[in-house]
Amino acid sequence: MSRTRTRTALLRTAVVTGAAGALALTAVGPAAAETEVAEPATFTSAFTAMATPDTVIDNDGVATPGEPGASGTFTYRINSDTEVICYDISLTGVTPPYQSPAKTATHIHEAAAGQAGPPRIAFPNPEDDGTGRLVSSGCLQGPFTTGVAPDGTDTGQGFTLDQIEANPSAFFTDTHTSAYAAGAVRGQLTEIPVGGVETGAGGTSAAADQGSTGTVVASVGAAALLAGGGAVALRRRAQQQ
Amino acid sequence: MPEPTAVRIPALGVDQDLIGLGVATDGTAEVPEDFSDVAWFAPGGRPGSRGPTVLMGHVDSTAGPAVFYELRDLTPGDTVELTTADGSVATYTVTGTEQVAKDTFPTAAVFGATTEDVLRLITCTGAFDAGARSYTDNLVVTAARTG
Repeated sequence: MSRTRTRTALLRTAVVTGAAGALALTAVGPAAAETEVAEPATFTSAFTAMATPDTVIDNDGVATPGEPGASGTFTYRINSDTEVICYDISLTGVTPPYQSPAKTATHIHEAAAGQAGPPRIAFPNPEDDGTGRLVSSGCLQGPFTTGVAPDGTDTGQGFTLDQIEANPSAFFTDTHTSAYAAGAVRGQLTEIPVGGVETGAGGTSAAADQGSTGTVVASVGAAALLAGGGAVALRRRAQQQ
Repeated sequence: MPEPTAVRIPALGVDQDLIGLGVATDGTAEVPEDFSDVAWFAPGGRPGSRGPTVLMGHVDSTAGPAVFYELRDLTPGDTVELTTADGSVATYTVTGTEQVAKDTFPTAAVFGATTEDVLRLITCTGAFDAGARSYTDNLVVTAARTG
C-alpha cells in the first residue's frame, strides 16, 4: 500500500507541474518506446471495458466525475508472447481537446476500481471517424513508455502485458481532456475470450463426409469474404445503435 | 442486475436453462460440454446493464443437430426472451446475422463492451475441417432490447 501511495503522490506532482514539467520528465525517459505494428495472427488474451464518467477518480483518490453523458468502449487484444497489444477504442460524448502530462491522453493505468494509479501504456487519442464518433484502433509492441516519469523512471518501464493477464481487475482504461483532466470516462478491464467459439462437432456437416479438397478450399474462400463484410457490418450496426 | 437464467426463442422452439461459463485457460471461450446446453458468458454483460449479453450453443454434435442448429434461420424481427434470476423476462428483437471466420474473429465487435443492452447468440457455421474437428466460421446473431 505504501508503495502505491508514493506513486500516487508522485503522479499528482507530475500532473500539477503541467506541460512544462511533462517535457522535462519526458527528457529523462528511456529511448526505447512502443512501435505501431501489424496485427498478429494469434492472441493470448482479450479484455474490454465499458468506460463511464461516474467511475473517474482523481490522483488524490477522490471521486471526480468526468464528462456528463459521455461513454467509451475500450477493447484490447493481447499477445503476451510477443508483447503486442491491439486496441479498439470508441468514444461517444467526449469533447476534445485531450490533455495529459503523458505523451497521449488515452491510457491503461494500474489501479483497482475506486483507486488512482500510474499509466502503463499510452494509446493514440481517438479521432473523429467522419460520423462524429471518436475512434482509435491499431496495435502497439512494447516495451512501453508513457512519458510520465515522476521519480525519473517512466511509469511504463518494467511493465509487461502478462501483468494484465495475471490480474485484469487491477487495471483500468481512460481518456483525459482539458475540461476533465482527471478523466472524461474510465472503466476497469474485464477478460473476454480470444478467437472463434468452438460450438460444433461436425455431425451435420456434409463436408465431414465428402473429403473433397476442391470443395473445402472453395468454401473457405467464400467464408473469408463473408467474414470481412461481417466484421464491418457489425461495427456499422454498433455505430448506429 | 440479476443474471439471466433461461433463454426462449419461439421461432426455433428453443427453451433452455442457461449455464454460466467464462474464459478457458488458453484464452478462448468456454463452451458447453453437453450439446443441448446453452452457455451464458458470465463475466460479460447481462440484461438491464451494459452489453453485450452473449449466449453460446452448439450447432451439432458428432451425431446430429444440437441446440443452436437452427440459429441460422433467425431473421430480423424474431424475438428472443431471457428470464432473469428475479423472474422477470427481458425481450430482445433480432437485428441481424453475421458469418465471421474464426481465424479473424472480430473480438471487439462481438464480445467488446457496448453502451446498449444488446444480446448476441453464437454458434458454428461454414466448412467443417475434419482434421481440426472444427468449423471454420462462427454465426453471430445480434438482437436489441425491445421489452
